[in-house]
Amino acid sequence: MGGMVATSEKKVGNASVLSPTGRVDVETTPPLQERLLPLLGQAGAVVVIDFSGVSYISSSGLRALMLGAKEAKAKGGKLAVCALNETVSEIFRISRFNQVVPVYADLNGALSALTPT
Amino acid sequence: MILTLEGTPAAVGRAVEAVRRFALGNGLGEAKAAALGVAVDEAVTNVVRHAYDGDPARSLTLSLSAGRDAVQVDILDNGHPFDPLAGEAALPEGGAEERDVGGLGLLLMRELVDEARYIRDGDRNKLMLRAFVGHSPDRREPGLA
Repeated sequence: MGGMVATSEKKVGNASVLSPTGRVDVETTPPLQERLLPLLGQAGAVVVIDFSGVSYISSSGLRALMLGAKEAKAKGGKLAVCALNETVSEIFRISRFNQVVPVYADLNGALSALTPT
Repeated sequence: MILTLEGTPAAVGRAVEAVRRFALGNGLGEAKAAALGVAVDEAVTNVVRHAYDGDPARSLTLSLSAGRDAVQVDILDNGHPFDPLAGEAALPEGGAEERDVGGLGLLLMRELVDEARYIRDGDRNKLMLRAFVGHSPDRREPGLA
């Protein structure tokens, strides 16, 4: 299934980088959310979601990001996103999601902002 | 082109991909085709979750049509009467602490297309979503094809 999310995960310094691919929709969000929330449940966690492989995000995916952002606030962690394509950027603009999570142009920008050396 | 979908989350992705391909083949650019696809995602998800109460045995129909100026997707279901365009869509504001979780689907659906209309047609809900070819929302036609 070309549209399925296959999320890879890696550690860069003290940050976790999740890289979903394909659609982030009502079908594919639950497994992404199951990886995201436990990471952010650890105090002070830093998580970046790299959207470079994501074609679009629906409101189901935004809901998971909102839950993640709330968890990050509660546990003193940080959640950010990067590398949004035109469609995802438009969806963030409409939903004003840049007020919910910081948006960076690329992964390096996100990591250097969130994990200062 | 007519698509019949079962009322499941897995059907949503298939609908989006079919709509996106149809839109690309009928004059919409990548970004507008993708935006129409996401609007259809939200509309179909809404039917699956709410009009059908998550019952996978129910099906819905997508009718895809294209003219010179627009691509149109009609979404028909026989669930509870529900007008997804009724009322003002609340504009979301604020950060994670101030906001509720969810409630963005219908806002996205409205904002990602050039025109949206709803009618109750007998025992069916009919939602019509249109995207104009050439990104010119002012080039409105007097009525739907």
